[in-house]
Amino acid sequence: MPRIQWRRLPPAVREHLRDRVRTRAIDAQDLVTLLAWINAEPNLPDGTWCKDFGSFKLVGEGAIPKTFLTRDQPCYGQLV
Amino acid sequence: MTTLIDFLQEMEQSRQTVVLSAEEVERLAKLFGPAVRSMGFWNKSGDGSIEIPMNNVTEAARALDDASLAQAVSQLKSSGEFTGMMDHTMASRFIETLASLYLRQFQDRVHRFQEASDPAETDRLWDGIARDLFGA
Repeated sequence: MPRIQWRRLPPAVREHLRDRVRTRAIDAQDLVTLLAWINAEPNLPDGTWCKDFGSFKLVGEGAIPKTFLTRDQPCYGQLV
Repeated sequence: MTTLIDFLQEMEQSRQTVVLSAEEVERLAKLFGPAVRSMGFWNKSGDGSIEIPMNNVTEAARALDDASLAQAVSQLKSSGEFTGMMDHTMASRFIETLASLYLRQFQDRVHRFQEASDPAETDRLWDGIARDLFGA
């Protein structure tokens, strides 16, 4: 399984994440969970996938992270 | 004469890091699990190495008594050839302590980022958070 290519996270998505962390829409503990999950090098499907972290969700496709969803937005793709 | 406390304080203030090569990181992760990659800054988008703050290493070592630390060192040095038969308790405890220290420090940085009012400080803190999450 290829390593998640974080450099391919669109800059606008990264900025959006920053804003949501700053305004506490994203919980600090959930960001810690994201870091530990990233560092665990999870096995991800080739197609679209979604991981729920509580105050936000991460959607990707294969090794490419695509976007962060809010708590209220439904996941799409395969739940991981 | 330098006392132990002086030595530890000097070490902490100098913010030195221990660097593990990608090869060593993967060897340890295979033996001890994914917590290995949370022991410090994992350069996931670069060479795969890990930078572990020296003061965290000191703190994790201090959490073990001398005999346990000696066992942990011995277990960390193991080749993994007889992984199933070996007791890795002390090395695992050492690694888990390092990982929980680093993740707690990451969480502290997130809290400081959320509370900072100075734009320059906010930028600096976010750069550190993004570096941890996405690599250098």
